[in-house]
Amino acid sequence: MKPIEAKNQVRLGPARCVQLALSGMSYRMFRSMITISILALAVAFLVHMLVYGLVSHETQTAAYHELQQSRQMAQIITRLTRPDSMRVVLDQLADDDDDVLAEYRAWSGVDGPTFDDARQAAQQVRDFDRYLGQLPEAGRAAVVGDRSTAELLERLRDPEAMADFTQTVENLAVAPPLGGYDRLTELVNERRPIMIEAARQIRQGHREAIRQVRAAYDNRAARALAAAPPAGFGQSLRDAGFAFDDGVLPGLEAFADRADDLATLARLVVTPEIRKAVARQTDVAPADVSLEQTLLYVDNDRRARWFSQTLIDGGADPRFTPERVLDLSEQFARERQLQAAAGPEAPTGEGGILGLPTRTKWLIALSFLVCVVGVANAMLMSVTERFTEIATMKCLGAMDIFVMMMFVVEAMIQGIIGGIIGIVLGVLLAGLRGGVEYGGLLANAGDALADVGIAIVLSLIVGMLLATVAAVGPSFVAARLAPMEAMRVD
Amino acid sequence: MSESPATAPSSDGKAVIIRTLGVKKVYGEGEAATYALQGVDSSIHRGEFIAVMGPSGSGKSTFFNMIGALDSPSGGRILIDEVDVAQLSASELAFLRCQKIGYIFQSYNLIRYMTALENVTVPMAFAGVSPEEARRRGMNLLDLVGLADRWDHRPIEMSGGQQQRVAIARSMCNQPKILLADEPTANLDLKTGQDILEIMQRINKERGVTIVCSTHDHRLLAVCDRIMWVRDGTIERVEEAKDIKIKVGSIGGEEH
Ligand SMILES: Nc1ncnc2c1ncn2[C@@H]1O[C@H](COP(=O)(O)OP(=O)(O)OP(=O)(O)O)[C@@H](O)[C@H]1O
Ligand SMILES: [Mg+2]
Repeated sequence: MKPIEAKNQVRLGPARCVQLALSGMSYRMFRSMITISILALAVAFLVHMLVYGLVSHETQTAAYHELQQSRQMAQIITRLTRPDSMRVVLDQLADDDDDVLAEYRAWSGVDGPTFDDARQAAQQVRDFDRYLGQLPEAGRAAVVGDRSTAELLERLRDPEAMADFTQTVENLAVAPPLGGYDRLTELVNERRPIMIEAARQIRQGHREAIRQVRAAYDNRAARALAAAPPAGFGQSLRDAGFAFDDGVLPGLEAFADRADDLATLARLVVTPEIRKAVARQTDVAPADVSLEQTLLYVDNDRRARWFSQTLIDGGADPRFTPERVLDLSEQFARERQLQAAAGPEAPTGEGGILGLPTRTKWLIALSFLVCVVGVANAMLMSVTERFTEIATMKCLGAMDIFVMMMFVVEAMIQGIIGGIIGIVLGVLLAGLRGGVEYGGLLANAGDALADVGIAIVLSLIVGMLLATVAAVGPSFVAARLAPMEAMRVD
Repeated sequence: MSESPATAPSSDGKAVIIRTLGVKKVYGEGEAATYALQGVDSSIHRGEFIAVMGPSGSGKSTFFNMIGALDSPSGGRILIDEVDVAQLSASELAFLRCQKIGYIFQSYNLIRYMTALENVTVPMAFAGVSPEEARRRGMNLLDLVGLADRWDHRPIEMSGGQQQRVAIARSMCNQPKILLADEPTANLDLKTGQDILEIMQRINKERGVTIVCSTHDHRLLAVCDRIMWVRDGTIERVEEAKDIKIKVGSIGGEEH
């Protein structure tokens, strides 16, 4: 009989390895499923955070821009109707809206340096106003009393009043305004007159511009012009010095119509008869009936028909058909939704995950951490609970590399399955949450789809990689132990 | 291992297949240390059927793990075919465990979630036998141990004795040259135990498989060649079976 030779063990190919790993998984279906569900949950959590973050950001951005546009249209209509008030002009001078500043430059005819001086003064006036606002209650009463900032500034031209003011502020033991009294003196005596003069000229120019536009269109009212912008309207506005974006023109008509109708409705709704009918129907006190509350109530066909009938019975224009009423109500609801979604701040320009707000990025980082811990724990458990099995296999001649491969392949398969389930879950969850939060506005998040795709692929890779990496460590330890040592590990 | 000499005669001229030189095994450390083997010198001859006997806790299972290259000794050397197993590479060790040695574990060590047949085919898969061939051979082996009709039962669905028989079938699936059997008949009824002993005797005689078998079953004395008495982690004495058979005849079926 031949002696035992020390031969090398057969090396099993990767195909055989996958086959054994798969059959191992199906043998332990239940355990595998638990591991997969933990993976899926971890990935779902991450995906949900990512997708929701992206979609939510995009929805907010879109809402902000949509609102911005309607604000712009409202602005055009007002500014075509009458020149900006002194107060508005001064506010705008202090602001940084390039379009408005360009208009003001064009209308004022004031040259560069003077215009800049006027702007600087306007900003200083605003700073001064803020400064007064921050003074303690008692101090403010002593300094300003019931005067406005403008009145106070006007008064301070008198040196005696200035000395008085300085004394009072010093008694309050607060810092001087604008960083020094000499700057305040300079503002009061030199800059502010320049500013007032510039503003006066701007208003003059604005009035002139309106007249010019109206003259070009037979003195038609601004609202009528906006409601049906004639051909070349944009160009004549530009010629008159309005900074004008042609993009808003097509929407202008519908917007003006709606604004008109809403204004009419607001008047109609409070007429005694209609008010009583609405109160009866909506079950509120007649005194509480408002346009807002009524429009929110009229949210379906039946109610729209009722409201249209009520209006027309009450002597309203027949243009308030049920369709029109419903349309107004929907627009109104949408506006409210937009306002709720847009958030107070201007959105950042960047897209993608990196463009998300810092808070969201932190949340995503946190959920990534949770994902890592969840996956690592799941894999660690699924390997350690199989130490006796590993030991038995090693006793029966499994190679270390095979044991490792088996676990790694299994982890990869579980990672993929868990990842895909997790993604579906996460996306559903994010969609559901977004739907609850933003309703129909979610449709505006289309631009985020590419980023969502990237996020999904990333999460899948992360889930799979994590599962694999997390399985390598413990299975490496298990594979290297002597079989009986592995058997003793509990 | 090129330096491996084909055969190395022992003192009485027979080829030695397994040799242990001062093998020690300590479990645990310090106060809790258990000295399971305390310097075991032994040689097991090629083709012999050797019984290892000794009270519970005397170190039989530990000795099996050592000579089966399943655990590393705390001291001493184990030579299989005169090659120190400590020198074998991971791959060579795997080959040894898979194809040259068959194990029947005292605690069976079946894989929980696999059926009887799948358990039997595991070592064949590691040896690169095709799945179809492995199933065929596995069924033959299950038939041999009388479990052909239970091939798709999982360990929890089987009695202790049935599990033990699956373990026996598994140990023989790669036609090992050495069979290490740790109390293979402990959970079997008289009849089945007898059958298993006969199977072992047959593969020992017909195929020349070296068998090392621990047991408390005195019937083994009838089929083995030598008996190794173990006590407190040392080998007390090694006797030729034929010397004992006379003694057993006189003391009857006294339990150990
Ligand atoms: N993993 C372990 N850790 C600590 N001590 C152990 C371990 N395994 C065995 N021992 C101890 O080593 C000694 C020998 O144990 P072993 O299992 O080899 O005995 P045995 O002869 O096989 O007994 P039995 O006949 O009951 O199977 C015992 O004292 C036991 O307590
Ligand atoms: Mg034992």
